[in-house]
Amino acid sequence: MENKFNNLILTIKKDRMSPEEKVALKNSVMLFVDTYQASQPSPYVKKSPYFSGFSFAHVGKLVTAGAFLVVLGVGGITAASAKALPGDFLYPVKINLKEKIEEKIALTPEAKLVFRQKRMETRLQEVETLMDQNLLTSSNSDIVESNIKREAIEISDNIAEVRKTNPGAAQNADLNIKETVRIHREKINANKNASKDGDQINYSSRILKSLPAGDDEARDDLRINQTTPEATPSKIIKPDIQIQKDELAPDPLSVSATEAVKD
Amino acid sequence: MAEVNKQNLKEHFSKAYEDFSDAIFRYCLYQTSNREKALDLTQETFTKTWQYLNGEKAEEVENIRAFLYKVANHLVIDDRRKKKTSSLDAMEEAGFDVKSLEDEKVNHENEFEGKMAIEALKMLDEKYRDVLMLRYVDDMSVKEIAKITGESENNVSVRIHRALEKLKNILGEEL
Repeated sequence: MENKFNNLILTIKKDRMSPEEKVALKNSVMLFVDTYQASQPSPYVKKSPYFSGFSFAHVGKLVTAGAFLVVLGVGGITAASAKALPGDFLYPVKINLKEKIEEKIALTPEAKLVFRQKRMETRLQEVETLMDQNLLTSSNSDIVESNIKREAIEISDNIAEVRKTNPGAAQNADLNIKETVRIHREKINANKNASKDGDQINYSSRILKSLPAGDDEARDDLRINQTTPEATPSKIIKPDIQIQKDELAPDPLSVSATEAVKD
Repeated sequence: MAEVNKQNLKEHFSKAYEDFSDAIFRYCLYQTSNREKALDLTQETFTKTWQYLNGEKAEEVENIRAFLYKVANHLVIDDRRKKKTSSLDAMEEAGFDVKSLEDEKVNHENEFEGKMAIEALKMLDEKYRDVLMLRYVDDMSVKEIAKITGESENNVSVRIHRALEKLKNILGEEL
């Protein structure tokens, strides 16, 4: 009995979060910690009893989003799309409806940042699932690349927005994102190295190139920050992001401006 | 000075996450039988704890681990009230939930042990399973368990004894 009991306890003790889950959860918790500190009301400011936090704009957003969710919930499409992968029939529902609604429900820049961090994690997990099942193709790896680039831009802009009111939270989020990307980059790389399928290797190489800066770069950023106080992670990330923006959607105005300078 | 304390608190809190998040997650997982729900509850446990620590009514927390379990326990109870599907039997009907534990099983050195753990726990009443897990899986003292569950130390001791007796029967006869 004692031996069986010990085995039982040891077995249960092995149930834990995966390293990715643990990091992702910590990112969310620490972002909350930073933003909660910042949002504490000053003890020197007394709120008027006639003031309330009511906002028609917020209520409007919630009602609209709630109505959408009810409609989708009834249809069951949203639930069915949750596990869809790039290239699947329901994948557009997942990213263009389900996630967009969830994004709308996150009202503050900080809440949006938490949501987008999770969404980036989801994108990277989708890549790993596709690789695990040898399902990477030319078309779905195009979708993956485009999604990851778009996600990186949105996160970068979001971090810049949060930085205006809460620089500490923004910097933590910045580093956390890079840590998350680093973990998944390693995993994708390991899958790529283990694969014997030439196509899978090519497609995964392309995806790896599209990933934003990882934690190694984050550490470099920190070192740069220590030597040059005016440099911030955003300033270092931005050039990469700008390149990605250009790749995604060439802006005709910016081209003519460049030509104008040449003239 | 206040800022320094705040920073210290944040560092301690971050360390508490590293030290206890897996245990809190495991506690929530075995209480809810749902991996996604357990992740959500673990996150909420830490955010609620931080809110408390920074709130106006915050009192000094002597034992952060016991405090986290207490918060997690309240959240699990709230969750059950909202959704009355908490038995471990529901795990098998939920598909994903069983899979989460089955997936974990891959990491186990012995596949049989994983199955045995789930089967043995399923056979215990919730109140016995809880104290057993807190005492032997999370290595808590009777005093700590009493704080978390709100029971007297004597009751906790008796319950642990009975839980062990019941488990002994299960392990001896059923497995």
